[in-house]
Amino acid sequence: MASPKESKKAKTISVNNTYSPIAEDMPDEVVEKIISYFPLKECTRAALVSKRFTNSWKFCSNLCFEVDEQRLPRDAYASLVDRVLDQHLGPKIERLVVAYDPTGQENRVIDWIRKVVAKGVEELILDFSNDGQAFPFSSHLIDVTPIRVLKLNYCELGFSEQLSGLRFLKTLVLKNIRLMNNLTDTIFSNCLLLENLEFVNCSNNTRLQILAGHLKHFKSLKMEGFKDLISVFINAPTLKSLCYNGDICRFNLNWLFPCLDVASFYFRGNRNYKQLDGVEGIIMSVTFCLQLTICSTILEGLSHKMKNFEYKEFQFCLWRLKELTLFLGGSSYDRGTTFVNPCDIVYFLKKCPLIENIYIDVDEQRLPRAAYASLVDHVLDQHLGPKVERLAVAYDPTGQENRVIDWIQKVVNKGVEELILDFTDGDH
Amino acid sequence: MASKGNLTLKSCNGKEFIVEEKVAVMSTTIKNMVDVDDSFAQGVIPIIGVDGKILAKLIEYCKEHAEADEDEEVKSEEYLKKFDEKFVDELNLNDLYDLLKASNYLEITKLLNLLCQKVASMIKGKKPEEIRRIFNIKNDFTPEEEEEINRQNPWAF
Repeated sequence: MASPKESKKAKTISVNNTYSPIAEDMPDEVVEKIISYFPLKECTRAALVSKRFTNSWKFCSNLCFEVDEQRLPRDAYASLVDRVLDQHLGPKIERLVVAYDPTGQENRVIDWIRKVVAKGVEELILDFSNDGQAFPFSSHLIDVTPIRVLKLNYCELGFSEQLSGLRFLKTLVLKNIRLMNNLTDTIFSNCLLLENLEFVNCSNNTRLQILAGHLKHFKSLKMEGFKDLISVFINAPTLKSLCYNGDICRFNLNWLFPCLDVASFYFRGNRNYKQLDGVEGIIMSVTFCLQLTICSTILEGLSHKMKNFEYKEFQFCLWRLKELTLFLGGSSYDRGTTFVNPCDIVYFLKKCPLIENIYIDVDEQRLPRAAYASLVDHVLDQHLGPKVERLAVAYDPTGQENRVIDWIQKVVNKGVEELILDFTDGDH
Repeated sequence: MASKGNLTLKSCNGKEFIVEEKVAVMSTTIKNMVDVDDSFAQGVIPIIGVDGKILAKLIEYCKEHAEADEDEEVKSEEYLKKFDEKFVDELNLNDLYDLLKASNYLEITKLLNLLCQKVASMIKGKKPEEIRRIFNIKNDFTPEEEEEINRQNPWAF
C-alpha cells in the first residue's frame, strides 16, 4: 500500500493568510452548501452573489436570529423567525439562536422549537428576556433530537426524570432559572457525555449537589451569582476547570480533583457576616491546579489561627501552581475592615514552589499607598521561586523612586520578561 | 456486491492506490460503480480529475472513518472528531478546494460536509463580491434587482 506514506509526506501549510486563492470550477451545489453553513444573516446576504443563490438562505443550517432590537421590533422579529422556519428547505438545522420576550406568545415559541427539533437541531440557545414571564420549557419539547448544546435564559424548567433528548448533551448553560431540588441529579443521571455545566444567577437551591463521579468527560463547572446557596457538594474527578463566583457558602469538596488546571473562587460580601468554612478543604482539593484565582476571603481563612487554644498552621501545598490571581477587594473590604495583610500573601506564596505569575488586584481606594508599597516589598523579599516572569505595578513613585528601582532590580535578577509599570499621578 | 477484497484506485496522473473495499465504498460514487459493474472490483477504477496527492488525502480520511464505523470501541466519536479537526487544519486553501471538488464528485458526504463547514468558517464575513471572486462567479444582477433583494431583507443588511 503506497497511500499512507505518501499522505504523511504531503506538505502541510497552515492557512492564516488573508489572501484567498480562487477556487475555479467549484460546482454551484458545493458553493450553496458552504453558504448554508454561514450564520443566517450572512447566508441571507449571500443572495447577492448571483441569481443562482437567491434562495440559498432556505438551506441555512445555522439559524442565528441575533438582530438589532432597535431596528426590528418584537412583532417583526417573531414574523421573521416564522418566515424563515416556514420556508426552510434544507434537511437539517444545526443551530437555533433566539433572543425574544415570549410573554403571550409561548405557543409560537414552542412551535419554533418543534420545527427545529424536527430538523435535528443540535444546538439550542434560547435567550428569553427578563421583562416578562419565564418561559415554560419542558424537556418533552426536545425528546426526539440529540441536543449537544443547550443554553437557556429565564425559563421555568420542566424536566422529566428521563431526558432522552439530552443523552448526548455536552454543554448546558442555565441563566436566571429557578432550579428544582433534584435537577442536578436528573442531569447527571441522564447526560453522561456532559462536558460543560454553567449556572448563572440561578436560585431556589440552598444545597447544590454535583454528583458526577460516573461521568467520564465532565470538564468544566461554573457557578456564578448564586444568591441563596448554603452549601455546595462536588464530586467530579474529571473536572479541569472549576469556577465559583457568588455569596459565601459552605464547600464540601471531599475529593481531590486530579485533572484540575484552573480553579477560581470569588466570594462576594454578604450582609450577614458568615465566616467561610472549609477553606482548607477547598485549597486541599485544588492542590494540583495550574491557575488559581482567589479572593481575600480565602486568604483570611488560611491565615494562622488560634484554634482550640492552639496556634495552628494549615498544611497545604500547591505543587503545580504557576499562576495566581488575588482579588483583595473581596468581602472583608466591603465591610470596611481589612483582615488580609501582606504576611498572609507571602505565607500563601511560600506554599507555591513553582509559581511564575502573580496578579494582585488591589482596590486602590481601600489600600493606601504605603500599604501597597510594603505589600510589594514583602512579596519580593520573601519570593523563593527561581524566576519572576512578569511584574505589574501601579504606584505613585513620588519620593519613593529608590524603592521602585529596588523592586525592578529584584525582578530583573530573577529574569523578568514582562515589566508593566504604571506610575499613576506621579510627579516624576 | 463484490467480495471483501481490495480495490485499485487510479488517480488522473497515473498513481495507483490499493485500498480495502470498505474504505473505497465510503465514496457513494465508487460504491455504485462496484455494485453495477463487477469488472471494476477486479480491475482498476479510474478516478477522473483527482490527482495522486488529493486521492491520498481522501483515502487517509476514508480509512480512518471506515475503521471507526467497524469498531466503535477503538475509534470513539471523540477520536474521530479530533482526527477531523486535525485533518482540515493541516490543509492549505488550494488543497481544501481540490478536496472539496473531489469529495463532491466521489460523493463522500461526511467529508464534503466537513470541508464545507471549514471553508464556511474561513470565508464567513466576506462580502458578496468577495465570495464571487473566490469562486469565480459572475454577478448577474442589475442594480435594481440588487436593490430589491436588499429591500426584502432589511434586517440582514
